Amino acid sequence: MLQYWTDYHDKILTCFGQHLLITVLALVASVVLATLLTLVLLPHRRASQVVVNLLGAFYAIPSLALFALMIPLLGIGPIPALIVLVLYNQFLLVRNFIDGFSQVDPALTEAATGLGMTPLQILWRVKFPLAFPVLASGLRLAMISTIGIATIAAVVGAGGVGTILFEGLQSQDPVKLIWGTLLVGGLAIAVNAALNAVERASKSRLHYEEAE
Amino acid sequence: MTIALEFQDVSKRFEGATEPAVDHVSLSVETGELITIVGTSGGGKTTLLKMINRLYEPDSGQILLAGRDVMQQDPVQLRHGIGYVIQQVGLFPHMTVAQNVAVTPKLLKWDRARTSARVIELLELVGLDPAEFSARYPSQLSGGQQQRVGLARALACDPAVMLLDEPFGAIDAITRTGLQNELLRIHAAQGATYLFVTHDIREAFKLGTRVLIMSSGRVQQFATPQEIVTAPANQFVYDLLMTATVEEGEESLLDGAIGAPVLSAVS
Amino acid sequence: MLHAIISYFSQQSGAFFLALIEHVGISALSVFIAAGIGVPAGILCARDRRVRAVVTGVFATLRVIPSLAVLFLCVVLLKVTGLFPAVLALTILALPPMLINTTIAFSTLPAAIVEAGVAMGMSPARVFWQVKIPLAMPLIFTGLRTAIVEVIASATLAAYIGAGGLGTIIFTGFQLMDNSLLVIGGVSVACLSLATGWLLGLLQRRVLRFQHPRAATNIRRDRMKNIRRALLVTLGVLTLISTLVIAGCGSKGAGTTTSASAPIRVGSKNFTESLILGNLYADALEDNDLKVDRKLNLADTVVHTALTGNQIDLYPEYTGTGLLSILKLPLQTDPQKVYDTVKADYQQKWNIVWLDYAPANDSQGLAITKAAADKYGITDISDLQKHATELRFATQGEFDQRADGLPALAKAYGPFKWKSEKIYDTSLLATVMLNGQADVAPLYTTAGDLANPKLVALKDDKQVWPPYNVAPVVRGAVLKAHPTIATILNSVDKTLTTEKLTALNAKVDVDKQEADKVASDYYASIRAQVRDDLSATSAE
Repeated sequence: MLQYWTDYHDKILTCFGQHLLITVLALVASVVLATLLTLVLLPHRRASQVVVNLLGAFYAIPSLALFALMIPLLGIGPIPALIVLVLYNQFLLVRNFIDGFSQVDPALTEAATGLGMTPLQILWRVKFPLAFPVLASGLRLAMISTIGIATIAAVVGAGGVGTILFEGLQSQDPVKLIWGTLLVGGLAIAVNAALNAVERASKSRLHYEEAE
Repeated sequence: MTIALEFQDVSKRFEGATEPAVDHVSLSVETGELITIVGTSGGGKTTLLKMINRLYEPDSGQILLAGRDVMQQDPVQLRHGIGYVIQQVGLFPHMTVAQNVAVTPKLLKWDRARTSARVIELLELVGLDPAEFSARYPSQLSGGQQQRVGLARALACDPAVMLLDEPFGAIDAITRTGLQNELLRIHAAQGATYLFVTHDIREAFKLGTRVLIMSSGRVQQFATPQEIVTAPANQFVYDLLMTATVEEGEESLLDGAIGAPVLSAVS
Repeated sequence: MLHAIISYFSQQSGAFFLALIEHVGISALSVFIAAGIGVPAGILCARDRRVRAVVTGVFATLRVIPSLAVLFLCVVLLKVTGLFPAVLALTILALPPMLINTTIAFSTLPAAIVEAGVAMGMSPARVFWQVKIPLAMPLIFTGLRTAIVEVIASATLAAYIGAGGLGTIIFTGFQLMDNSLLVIGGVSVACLSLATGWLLGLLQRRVLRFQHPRAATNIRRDRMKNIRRALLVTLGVLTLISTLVIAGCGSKGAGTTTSASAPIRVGSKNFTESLILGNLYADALEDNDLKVDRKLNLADTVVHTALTGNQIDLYPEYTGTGLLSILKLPLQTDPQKVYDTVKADYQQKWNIVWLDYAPANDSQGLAITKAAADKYGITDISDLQKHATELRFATQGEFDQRADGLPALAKAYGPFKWKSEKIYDTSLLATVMLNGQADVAPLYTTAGDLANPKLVALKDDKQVWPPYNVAPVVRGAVLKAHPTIATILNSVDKTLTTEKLTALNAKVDVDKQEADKVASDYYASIRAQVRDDLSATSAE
C-alpha cells in the first residue's frame, strides 16, 4: 500500500487533482446553469414540472452510455465529461431549487410585499434564506453524484481517480483499486460531511430566528 | 351490587423518579359505575388506569378485576375484556374505520357476519352513519369523529370495564359537550364499569357517578359529586373545586350537576 | 441510425430480452438481499439510540462511495468475476437506504397507536406485524424505491465484470463504436429505471392508500395522466438522444493544421499493451526534444475518432484492426499487403500516416485452459470446433461480432456452438479461465497471461486471422511539422518482436509494474540505438 504511494505519489496526486478540478468546475457550471433555469422556470408551475421530469429522464440514462454518445459530438477529454456532468446535475439541482423556493410560506412573501420589498429583495432577503437548507441538500446530492460519475468519465479520457480504478481492474491490482477507492471515497465522505455541517448550521439558524 | 374492580394497597414508582406515581392506593368500584378520576397533572391518574390493563405493572399491592388478580392473568387475554380509549385516539392509520372497529372481534375470532353486523351497530351507537364512514381512513375524519370511532372500537366486544384516558382532551368545547352526552347515554345503555381520567373538573363532575380526586399519587377524596361539594375532604379538594367556579358569568360547574345553593355553602 | 436500431431488434431480440431479464434479475436479487438484511437490521438498530446513531452514520457515509469503486474492489478482492461480486456490490449499494429508512421508521413510530394495539389485547407478534410494520411501511417503501432506482443504474456497470445485463449492450457498443447499440442500451436502462420508479409509485399509492386517501378516487385519472406523461418524457428523451447522435455523426473533426510549437498529443487504447506502447512512443519523442502531451488510456475504438477529430496526434494501431474494424475492408492475410492497403487508404481518407510496422504480431487468438486442452486433446482451432459443445466460452463481447472474430472462424471452421457463453471485461478473461469459470476465451497472441503454463494458445490452423502488426498512426499535419517523429518511432518499432512485447505485457499484467515504468525501462534499453538512427538520418 505505502510502497505504491512512495513510487507513484505524483501520479496519484495528479489524478486526484484532475478529479477535484473536474468536480469543482462541473459544480460551479451546474449551479450557475441551474440557478438560471430555476429563475426562468419558477413562475411557471407546469413548465417547471415538465422540465424537471425531462431532466429526470435524462438523469436515468446510464452515464457510461451518455459519455460514449457524446464522443462523436464533443470528442474526448475533460470537456465532454464536464458537459455530461453538468447535464446530470441539472436534475438534482433544479428539482431541489424549485422545491426549496416553492416551499416558502406564501404568507411570508405576502408580508414582505406588504413591507414594501421589491420582488428581487423578496427573493434575496426572504425566499433564499428560507429555502437555503433545501438548496444545500440539493448541492450536496449533486456533489456526491458528480464525484461518483466523474470516475466513469475516465473512459473518455477525462483523467481523474477513475483512471486508477480502471487500471486497477485491467491489471487485477488490489493496491491500485484500494487507493482509488480511498481517494474517491474519502473525497465524497469529506464533501458530504462538510456540506452536512453547512446544512445543519443553516437549519439551526432558521430555528433560532423562529424562536426569536 | 358486585365489586367490579378493587385496588389493594397499590404502589408504583417509575425508574429514576424520586416520588411514587401511585402511593398505597386502595379503593373499590362497583359494577356499572362511571368513575371519573381528576387531579393535577402528574398526580398518578393515568398510571392508575394503565395498571388495570397492565400497560404498567404495580410494584406492590394487588389489582382485582372481577375478583381476580390482574397480575395472575395472561395480559393479552386480560386486555380483550377491557376497552381502552386515549386522548391521541390511536386509530390505526392504515385501516379503514370499519377495520379499526373490527380489530378486537377479529382478535377474538368472530365470524365475518357477526363482526360486520357489530361494526354497523357500533357506528350507529356512536352516531356515525355506517354507509358514509365505514370505508373512510382515519385521516379523513375530524377529531371528534375520530374519537367516536375510538369509542366504538373500545366497545366492540362488550368489555366489562372501559378505561378512558382524557378521551375528549383534544376536542373543541362544543363537540366535547356532545360527546359527553353520548358517553352518558352509551354508559347507561351498556351497563359496564367505566373509569374516565380527565383534568377538567367540570367534565369529571358532569359524568361521574363517583369522582376520584388524586394528587401526588394518593387518593384525596373518592365520593359522589354531591358529597365532595358538600364536604370537601381537605384543602386540596377545596382549592380544586374553587378553580371551577371562580370565573364570573360562566355557567358554574355545580349549577347543573348539583345546584347553586350547595356551592354557596362551600364558599 | 433508426434503421440500425430496427435491424438490431429484428435480428437480436432474443439477446436483448436476455440482457433485459439479466438486468432485472441482478437488480431484483440485490435489492431482495439488501431488504432481507437491511429491514431486520434496521429494526434491531432502532432499539438502541446509540447503536442507531453509529449505524446510521456509518451507512450514510458508505453510501457516498462511488459504485464503480465498490464494484471493482469487490471483483479484485474476491478474485472472482460474474454474478457474485456484482450482486455483492449492488447489495452494498442498496443496503444503506433500506437500513437507514427502516431504522428511522421504527424509531419514530407513533407511541399512542402502538399502545392502543397493546391495550386492545394484541399479542407482541400481532402488534409487530399488524401495527408497527404497516406504520413503518411508507418510509421503508421510500428506501426501497431509492435502492431500486440506484441499483438499476449501477447494474449497468456490472457488465464490466461479466455479470451481464443491459450494460453488456452499452459495453459492446462502446467497444465497437456502434452508436445504435449505445442508444439501445442507454435508452433501455433509462426506460427500465423510469418505468420501475413509476410502477413503484403506483404500488406505493395502492398499498399505502391510507396516506393520501382522497387521491384514491382519482387514481384512474391520475394513472392515465401518468402514462401519458411517461410516454411523453420517453419520447422526448429518445428524440433528444437521436438528435444528438445524428448531429454528432454529421460533425467532422475540425482543423487539420498544427503549429510547430504545440506539444505532440500521444494517445493509446485502454489495454496494457497499448498503454506501454503509448508511453514508449511518448518517452522516445520526449527524449529527442519534442514536447509531448500524453492522452493515454482511451477506450478501444474511441481512439480512432479522437485522431481523426484532431484531439490526439498519434497512437499505436494494429494493421488488422485498421483494415477490418476501421476501414471495414474484406479480410486479407498477407502482412505486407494489409499494411499497404491501410497505409494508402488512411492517407487518402484522413491524411493520416502509418509509420513502419513492427515485427510483433498481436493477433487475435483463442486460448484454452491446459486442463481442458489435455482432457479433449485440443491443440488447434479445428479441434476446438469439434469440442465446442462441451466448452464454456468467455468473451469481451466484441469478439463475437466483429468480422475477424468468431464469424470469420465460423466461416472457415464451421459453427461454434458453445456449452455456455458469457461476457467479461478483456482484462478479466485470463482470470476467469484460471478460476475455472470458463474453458476458452479470446486472448491476444502477445497477452502477458500466456506466460502462465495453465493457459495454452490455440493454433489458427486454417489461417483465418489477418496479421495484427503494430505501428504508430500519425496525423499528416503533425508529421509535416515534426518530420523527426517518423525516424524516432520507426526506430523504436523495429525492436518490437512478439516475444519482447509479450514479456513487456507480462511485466504489467503479471508482475504488477506500472505501464509507464515498464515503457521507460524498455526505452532506456534501446535508447542508444534510437539516437544512432536519428543522427544517421539527419546526417544524410
